[in-house]
Amino acid sequence: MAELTPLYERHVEMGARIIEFGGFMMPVQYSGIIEEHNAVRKAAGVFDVSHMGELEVSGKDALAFLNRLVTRNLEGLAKGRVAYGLMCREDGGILDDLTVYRRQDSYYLVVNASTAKADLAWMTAHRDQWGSDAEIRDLSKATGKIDLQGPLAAGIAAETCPLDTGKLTYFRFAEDRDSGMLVSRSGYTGEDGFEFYLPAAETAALWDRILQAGEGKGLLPCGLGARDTLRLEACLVLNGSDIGPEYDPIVAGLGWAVDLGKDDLVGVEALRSSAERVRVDGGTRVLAAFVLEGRSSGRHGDTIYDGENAVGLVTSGSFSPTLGRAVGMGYVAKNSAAAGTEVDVEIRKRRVRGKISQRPLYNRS
Amino acid sequence: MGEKVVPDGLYYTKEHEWLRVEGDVATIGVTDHAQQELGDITYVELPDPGTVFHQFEEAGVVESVKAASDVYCPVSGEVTKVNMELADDPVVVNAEPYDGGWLFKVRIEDPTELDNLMGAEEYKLLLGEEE
Repeated sequence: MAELTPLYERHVEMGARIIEFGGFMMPVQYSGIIEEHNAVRKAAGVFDVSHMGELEVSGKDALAFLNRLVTRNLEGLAKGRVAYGLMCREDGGILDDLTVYRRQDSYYLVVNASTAKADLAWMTAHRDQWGSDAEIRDLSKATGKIDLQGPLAAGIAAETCPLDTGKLTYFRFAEDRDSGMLVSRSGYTGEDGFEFYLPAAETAALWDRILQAGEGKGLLPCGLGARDTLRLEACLVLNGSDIGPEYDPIVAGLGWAVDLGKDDLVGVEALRSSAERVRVDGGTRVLAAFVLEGRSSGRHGDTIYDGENAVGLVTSGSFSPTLGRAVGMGYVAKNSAAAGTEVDVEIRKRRVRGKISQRPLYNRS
Repeated sequence: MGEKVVPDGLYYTKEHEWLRVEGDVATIGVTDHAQQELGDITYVELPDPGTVFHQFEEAGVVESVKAASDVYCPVSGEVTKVNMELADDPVVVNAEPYDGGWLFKVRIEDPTELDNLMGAEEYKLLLGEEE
């Protein structure tokens, strides 16, 4: 049985189309993916992302423990700040990507829904193997999560959130111990915005306040469909599509989130080899973004050609509402992955012309 | 999702195409149910005029933001016309699935094949079962 988020009743009442995703019944769209997408780009959108997992790590070994599991160097992560990183296997393959929140006396990890249980098992096994005193608590069920995104997000957050969101700059957070609310200035759409974490029972009240504050301003409730097209334009990777155990963070273009200097990082040897391979071998496939000439879209698994040579595979593809053309990302041989390279994507046995593009495909002005 | 419109007087397929007969020409599109299920339609791939299809053969593709879905030709025959308007404005299929959103026309080769299709009442029953 799929789990329900604290907002499930709201989605049903509001006529959202519901699908199962990551073990949860989630809204994929309300009014329509393109309309919701455009609302986030031009005004604001609010998303139920309570399916995401939240894991808390505390204890005196917490930092040392996490620094061996998370690619980012967390030594320098100050209280009140957020860092993006990954957890990899010994062979460098990606288990999950996550954000780490440094709280007063613990770390708060936000992980993908479909991998949350495996992440917890992986972390627990290493904790036990290393004899670390780090304490790991799974707060996923007790926690609701709402993302508010878009150029009007700051104004709406100021009206609806008891915390001083106006002071927050990018990838910083504030929390209120009494209400249990945590809010960071961050998101997964390429727009300004906030991610709210709060006790499950309080989630619906914040959702209602946000919808009310956004009335007449163009704010729309948005589903996972728009979340996917928004993150794709922003070239933010999706675990399970663009990354996973068969890829490492270096080829995924996430080398900036890996500290290769950490000798005890799980997977560090493999990651160093990968970095060297990418440097010297033009055939190594790296994640690249592309724009196609028409509206017809390549999909996960479609082949990318440079002339007659098959040079890569699409991992994410969709019509881009902002660009009005089909876009995507895929792993492409480094020699063919430079921005401007003309490539074809084979869609239903037909080659469609396109070009490798700079990442991201969309930049907010 | 809203109510599904199923006009009388059309033929329907299990794959959610509709067909309107005028003389020996059939106009073909996807149903209101299909367009609702697909969501925002972003691209329509149509056959070339002159192509000859067998009944229920793949004839085109409708892409939405999320996925691509095949369109099957409900009767055998030669494609006489395709809806060029959809190239630039595929959302017409969402807005007017039975009117401006028609996909292509074929010259019906064998009218007895229409017996393999559903009427409006039967199609409503099928939709009821799929709910």
